Amino acid sequence: MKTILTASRLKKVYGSKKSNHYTALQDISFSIREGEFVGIMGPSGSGKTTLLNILSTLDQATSGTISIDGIVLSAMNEDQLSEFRSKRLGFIFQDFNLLENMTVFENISLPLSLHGHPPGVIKERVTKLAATLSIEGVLDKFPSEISGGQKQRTAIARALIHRPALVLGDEPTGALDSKNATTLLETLSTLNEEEQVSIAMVTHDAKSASYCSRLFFIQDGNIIRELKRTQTRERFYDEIVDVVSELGR
Amino acid sequence: MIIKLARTGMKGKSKDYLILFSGLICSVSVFYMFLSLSTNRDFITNNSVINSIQLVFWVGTALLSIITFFYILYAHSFLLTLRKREFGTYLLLGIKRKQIKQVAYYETTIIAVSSILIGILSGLVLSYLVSLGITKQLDIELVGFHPISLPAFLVTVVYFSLAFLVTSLWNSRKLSKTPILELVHANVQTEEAPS
Ligand SMILES: Nc1ncnc2c1ncn2[C@@H]1O[C@H](COP(=O)(O)OP(=O)(O)O)[C@@H](O)[C@H]1O
Ligand SMILES: [Mg+2]
Repeated sequence: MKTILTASRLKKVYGSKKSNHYTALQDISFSIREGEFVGIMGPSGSGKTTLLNILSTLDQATSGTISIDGIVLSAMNEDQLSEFRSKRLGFIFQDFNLLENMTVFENISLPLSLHGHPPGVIKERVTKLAATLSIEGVLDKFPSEISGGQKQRTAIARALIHRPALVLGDEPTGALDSKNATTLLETLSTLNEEEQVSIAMVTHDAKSASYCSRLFFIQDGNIIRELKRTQTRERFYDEIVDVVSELGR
Repeated sequence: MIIKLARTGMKGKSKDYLILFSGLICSVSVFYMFLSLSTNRDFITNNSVINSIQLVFWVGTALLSIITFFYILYAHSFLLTLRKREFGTYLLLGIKRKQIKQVAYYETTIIAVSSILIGILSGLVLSYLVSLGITKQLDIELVGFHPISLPAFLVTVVYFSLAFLVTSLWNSRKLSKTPILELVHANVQTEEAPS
């Protein structure tokens, strides 16, 4: 299967002065294949957010290269990155980042309308995706008028509407109660299995991680372990918990 | 699209914009009033008492122009700060920085033009009322005063246009310099929480 993302020898040093240098990522290499649901797991401060921001093209690595969908990120300027991001990537944030003054429909369609797709195409695609995510009834409402679960599905719809090569999320369940968190994870998992959407998600929670098809454990800026899901989610969860307690020692 | 984004964005923060807008109209109209009173030659030369308080008007105008300038600069920058997240989300979804600056520029222009126009209109009324008040207080005849003063009008328009222009450039520079990460995650408490 095709490789969607290749990260090689990523290093990230924060701070401009010598005295306050902090190396958040030491030497990270991995790849994600099309249709995978990859999790990046690690304790607080291990460098997960740093890594995801770099993969998201929102921050630059100090050294190392990333290519997504065959395109090397460092070769692009800011406008090209912006174009790339909006066409090839989808983002799911902890607090959704929905635009409060636009309706659910407008929020979801923004990635398409910004690229000048005809209204007919936009309407058809939004309606179809909204039905898949069961939010077809709230398309004309504003984010303030819908429930947390509906907001979260609106955010997923906006992340998927332009059919990105890769969907990225930094602790996407972090601000949700456990019921909504489970729904979000199941939705992602279904989209991954049925529509072959490639996903990379950062998490520190074993339950969220158990929905992934492959996991990287990261500690002090290095990948120290990789785990592939071969069995049921419940068994995978037990395996993850074992690894976490082993690494914690 | 740019115009639509500016409009929906401003609507979303309509309360804050309304406060900014009323503040601006007040400053413009008081500014105009001071100027029209201090530049009305006939009025001033024909009234010896008024003549002596001419200085008050000039000092008032000078002070007011300084205060107004910083008010415009900070109030408008503050509103853009409130919208950092929104701009960050736009950047994320593929709007270019240049276009976001156009959105901000467009908004400033709308605010500038409408507050200057409405401000001068209410300034006319205000200076008329104040001139009435002064003549009554000082018990003198209202001679030669006219609230419509061309120099006052011109100075007000030029001064506020400049103040808005500086504000616009300042904000544009700020928008260029803020990294996208900071925009996307602006005011997000969850980011700072330990994870
Ligand atoms: N902007 C920054 N400047 C300096 N240090 C940072 C910055 N962002 C993160 N760090 C540091 O890098 C390390 C990794 O942070 P982060 O990637 O946020 O970890 P995680 O998401 O796994 O909790 C932490 O020690 C953090 O303090
Ligand atoms: Mg984090």
